[in-house]
Amino acid sequence: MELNGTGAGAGSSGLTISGGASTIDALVINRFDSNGIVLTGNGGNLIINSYIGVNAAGTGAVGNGEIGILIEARIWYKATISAQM
Amino acid sequence: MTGAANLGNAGQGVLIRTAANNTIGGTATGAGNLISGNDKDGVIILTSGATGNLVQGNFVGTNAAGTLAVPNTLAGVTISGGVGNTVGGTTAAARNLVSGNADAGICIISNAIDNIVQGNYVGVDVTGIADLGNAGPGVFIANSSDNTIGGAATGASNLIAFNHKAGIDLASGSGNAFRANRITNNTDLGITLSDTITVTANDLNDEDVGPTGCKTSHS
Repeated sequence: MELNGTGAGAGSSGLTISGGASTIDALVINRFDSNGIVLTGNGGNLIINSYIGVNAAGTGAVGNGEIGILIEARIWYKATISAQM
Repeated sequence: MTGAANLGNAGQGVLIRTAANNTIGGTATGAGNLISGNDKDGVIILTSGATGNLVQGNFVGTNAAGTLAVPNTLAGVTISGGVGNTVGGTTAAARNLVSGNADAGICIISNAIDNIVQGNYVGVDVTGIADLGNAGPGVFIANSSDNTIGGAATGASNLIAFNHKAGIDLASGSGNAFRANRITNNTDLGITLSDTITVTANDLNDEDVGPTGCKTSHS
């Protein structure tokens, strides 16, 4: 399957998935203004059988405005508010 | 495609930052990705929090057939500060083809530690025979320690050939091991320190400096 970002607009990414342990299988990701796919969370993601930065034939370069697949841990800090004096 | 326009991702193909235990590709049939034509690195693994990531079975810098270059503008695979990541493996299915890139094939930099690079084809086509060299060295290591390129196990050998600089360029670092690789037909030395192009002969009775104590180079 090809995710084609033509017309998706400025700053758009193809997919953003949080939570970790996601699988990206058999995708062609191209032409988004920003990133193709963004995976955040706890890691453990699997990227297989995908074309990143190339066309669906795998013969030429065609891509996204920034990163093809960005995998990034995000650390969320808990705010503790107590004993307000 | 017509003409020579390069429209790959303007950044990296795959960027892993401070994330652990991700797998790019794998050993199952069809698991490998084609990661080519990007305007930075094909794959980059960043920070010491990036650990346990596995890059296997991918074509990085080539076309889908593995016969022609579709270069990533920087290195094919870069580990910058990552710890304990693996590129390739000891089976043919785990092999990455890292060829045709416009800089180094595999780059290990910025205090990257305990990473393993095994069983890959770096600078050749999918057959392991024809020239599909990376424009930089096959493997470049700087300011990084205790990484292993190749290994004693069956299948751990990397084939590093036809790269336009050295086969392996160790600029700085300590405890890096290069074992049982097949290194041939690179433009500069098979294994070098800081991409010098002349052999530093072994000598006796003095103290030498450099990442191997300047005890090189029989490649």
